[in-house]
Amino acid sequence: MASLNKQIVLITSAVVATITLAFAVERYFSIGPERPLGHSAAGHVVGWIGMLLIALAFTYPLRKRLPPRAPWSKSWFNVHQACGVAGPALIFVHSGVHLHALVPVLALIAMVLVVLSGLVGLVIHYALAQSLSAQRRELTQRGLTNIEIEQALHALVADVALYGHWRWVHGPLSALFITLTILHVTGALYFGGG
Amino acid sequence: MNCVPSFLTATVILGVVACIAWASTWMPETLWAPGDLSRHHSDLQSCDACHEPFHGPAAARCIVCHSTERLRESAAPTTADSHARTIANGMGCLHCHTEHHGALATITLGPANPHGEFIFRATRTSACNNCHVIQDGRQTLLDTDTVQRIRSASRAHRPGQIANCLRCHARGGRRQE
Repeated sequence: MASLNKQIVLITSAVVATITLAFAVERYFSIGPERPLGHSAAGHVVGWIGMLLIALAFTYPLRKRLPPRAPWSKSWFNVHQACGVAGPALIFVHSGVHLHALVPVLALIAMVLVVLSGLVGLVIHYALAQSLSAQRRELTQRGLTNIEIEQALHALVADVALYGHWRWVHGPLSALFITLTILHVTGALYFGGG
Repeated sequence: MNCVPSFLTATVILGVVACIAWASTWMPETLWAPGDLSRHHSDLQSCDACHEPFHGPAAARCIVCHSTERLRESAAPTTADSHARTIANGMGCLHCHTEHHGALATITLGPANPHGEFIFRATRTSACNNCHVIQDGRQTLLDTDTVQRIRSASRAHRPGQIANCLRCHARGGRRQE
């Protein structure tokens, strides 16, 4: 349990540090409070890159759902986690703390909820993986390699009921986030031009 | 996939999109604008007064109000000339102007207003050329009532002191705080 608490503290610290750094970068590159980075061409590029990384994070759930259904892939899960943190971090650089229009504000809130629910999922995932240590021992006794054991345990965690319930928080929030992001981008192109 | 959560998700998303679409018809600035309009444009009623769909703010819409003739009638000669030169050089309005940076923000790009935007409220003017003639990067003062009032004012209101106005008028009012 001590290890799990350590993970929670580590994740929380990383989240706070990432958001603080993103806002500091945005402030540094903004020309005064009335010329925020997000309203400049460079700010738009940062937003597009952030969105591309977030789109890459969606490769993992799409691979699981769309045919041919791929088996649980730890590599894509790692890509999902990395892009799910790096993309939103860039979006924070893009947005700064200049919150005015309601649609992008709602998209930003949805993004924060998706990332937070993702981090909660990671903690649940980690906790379940720990509780499956007994099965790990059994698999070891059956002579499986470390990599095979890791793959098998990840698959088992995915099947646990608690994880299934959590996915009904993370998934719908992600769908809402995509919708609001599409609205924000469409609105920005509609009013601001290409 | 479980059908009930999928149905709920789709319903919530459709509801959010419908609310945004409905609210966009009567409060578009709240939903979409990156900042409040400046005091110069705060009376505009709809986004398409300036914005052309998928092309952004369009000069063709600016000149509905800011026609060359009207500029020549209402603005100082140097301002009308500089606008004519800019247009002749093929530069659009956005080359020099911006918007949505707040009611007190300046909408002309370039050197920052050395007095701060509070000067307009304090002097009841609306543009730099109400007091200054700016040509070829040099400025001279006009002999207007406002300029005379500031020149004859007490020390705190002398030229060069006005940028520090908020030291005494902390809340932006005319009374000293």
